[in-house]
Amino acid sequence: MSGISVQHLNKAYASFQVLRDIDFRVSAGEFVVLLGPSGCGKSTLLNVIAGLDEVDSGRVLIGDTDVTGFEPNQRGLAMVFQSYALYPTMTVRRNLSFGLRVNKVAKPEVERRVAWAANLLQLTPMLDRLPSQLSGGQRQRVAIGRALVRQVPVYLFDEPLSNLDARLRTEMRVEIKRLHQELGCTIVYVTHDQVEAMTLATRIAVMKDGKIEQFADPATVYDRPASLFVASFVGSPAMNFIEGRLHGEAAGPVFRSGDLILPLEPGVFAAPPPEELDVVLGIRPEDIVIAPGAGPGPTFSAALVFIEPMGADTFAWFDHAGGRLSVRLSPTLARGLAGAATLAPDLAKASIFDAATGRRL
Amino acid sequence: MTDNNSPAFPFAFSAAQARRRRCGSRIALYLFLSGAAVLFSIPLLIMVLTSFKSMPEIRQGTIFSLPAALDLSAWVKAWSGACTGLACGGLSVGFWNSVRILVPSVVLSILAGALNGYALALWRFRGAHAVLTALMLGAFIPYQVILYPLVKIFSFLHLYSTLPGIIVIHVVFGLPLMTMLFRNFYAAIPAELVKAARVDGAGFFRIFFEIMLPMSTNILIVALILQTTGIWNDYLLGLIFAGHDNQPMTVQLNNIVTNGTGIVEYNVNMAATVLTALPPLAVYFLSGRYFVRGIASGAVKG
Ligand SMILES: Nc1ncnc2c1ncn2[C@@H]1O[C@H](COP(=O)(O)OP(=O)(O)OP(=O)(O)O)[C@@H](O)[C@H]1O
Ligand SMILES: [Mg+2]
Repeated sequence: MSGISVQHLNKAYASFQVLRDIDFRVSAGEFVVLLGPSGCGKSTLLNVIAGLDEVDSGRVLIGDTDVTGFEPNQRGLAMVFQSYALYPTMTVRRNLSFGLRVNKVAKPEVERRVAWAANLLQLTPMLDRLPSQLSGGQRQRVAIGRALVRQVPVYLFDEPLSNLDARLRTEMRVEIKRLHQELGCTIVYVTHDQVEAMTLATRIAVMKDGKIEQFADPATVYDRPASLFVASFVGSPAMNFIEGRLHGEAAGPVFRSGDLILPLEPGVFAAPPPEELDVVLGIRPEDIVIAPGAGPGPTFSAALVFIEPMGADTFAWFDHAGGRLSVRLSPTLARGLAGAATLAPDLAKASIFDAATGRRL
Repeated sequence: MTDNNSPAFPFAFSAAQARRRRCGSRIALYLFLSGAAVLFSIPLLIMVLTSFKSMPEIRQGTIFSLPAALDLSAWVKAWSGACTGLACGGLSVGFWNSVRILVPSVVLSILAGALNGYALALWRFRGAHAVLTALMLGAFIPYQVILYPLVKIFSFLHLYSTLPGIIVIHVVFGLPLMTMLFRNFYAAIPAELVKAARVDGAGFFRIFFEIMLPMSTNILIVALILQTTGIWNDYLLGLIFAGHDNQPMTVQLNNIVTNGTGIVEYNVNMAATVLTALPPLAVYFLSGRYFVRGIASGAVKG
């Protein structure tokens, strides 16, 4: 088993900086998800790890070996590409076995592994078809199978489920998770689907503009986002934000926005907060409840704008001081809602960001 | 339903009208095309007719009339008896010389062009752009300009007037066009295909022969036609570089036609010309369908 260590990677296309000082370590057997908006450099980073793109500076280690100058096939990894990249003139069987044949694996072993992967991915009936005779989802499974048969310590997945329909995507997600547990391999997995990120990852690296904004386990990324960007990118609907000012008072720090005054718990701060600062308070839709009357904590009232039923949950959107706030409710509770309501935020779960830098305090 | 022109069926009416209009433009198109076909086939027809006539019949000057009898002697003479200078072996010598030049030249130039195009399109290496620009220039320089230096170089290398010499010449002169043809074809192939193969462990040549070449059938046929006709029809390069023993068919044809001694045997000349033009024609007829398909696939996508 081998982990991956990426050290101070920089890469630019002409004047456009694609990767900026990327530095992170993936332990052996870990499942790391690279999450970020389109164009932030996820595929580029994966290509660099695979040895398909050169870097301007920085190193890549796999296991204990510095592989920075190595060819892709010397790095002991397999990769699934965003666009399948199946060999169009080869049958599914020959697509699956190509990497093994190139690496001179003995014939019976090749056949054994192809049969294993085909069985696992339900490709057995179409082994003798060409890629052009397969559906999108079947092609994607062949692409995954082509990586799996290699049986290498490190797998790189570039949005392997992006072209599947919702049901197949859920099925394959479970399948990939099971495979990871079964094979015990190290996986780096690119996606911009946050459900995939939350369910699959042991740790998530959230990227923005070629930088890693936060690298932590899914719960931490969700509950304690390191920046405004992470807070707004992870979670659907996004975290609610209220702009205001932080005041240090005798009883502790207080958040003020207009006539809204919320006393903050010291626990939400990583370090002792400054006395005075412009800040943004972030709170998840599920951390606000509709209070029947005056509760123990602070409350405020807001006007209901509209209701979004999503099935298991309903989101109610309120107007507060010109901004929108979403609240997650049970459908029964939502039905009784009209006009205005009293909202009670759970301030122990709030996140406070420096308004100037966007970093978490 | 008897009154088709009633306003209750406006669509039927307008559809019929449209069909009639389309029919009209069709007729014009066919008229133009068949006119062009006749225009181009008249010289060919005269050549074939004349080649079957005897010399006295030709002297009557009725070039459009059918031959009185099917006289094959001109063809036989053109193939095996016509005189080129001192030797009187007919065109067959030149035919086999041309085949010996053509086959290796076509195979090697296509292979080299495909490899070049593949490297330029799918492997980003330092200076790729400069190589491409140089090749483009090569395609546009009239080759008469560099003939003399080439002759000097080849005689220095002892390749002048040899079979390998003329083959190298054809490969080199075919390279710009072949490279650009294949480069444009391979540029339409997603780069991730090569990346996937590299991760799988395949190298430059393995990817070329196992993945790229099998995808290239259409463009290979285009290249085959272009090179076969180009090299078969070549006169100047063959005349200069092939040497006396390897003179291609076109050079021999010229020698037969311009043979100064005695009377001009029009029937033999015509038969010899048709014989020389036959191989490229055969290639067109056998693979024209693929030719069109290959040209189109370059424009749309592989
Ligand atoms: N060959 C190239 N030349 C110039 N810019 C490039 C090149 N390849 C990629 N880029 C740029 O680098 C940035 C990162 O690209 P990358 O493919 O890594 O994005 P990504 O995060 O994978 O996006 P997506 O989620 O859409 O796949 C993009 O802004 C892209 O425009
Ligand atoms: Mg990408």
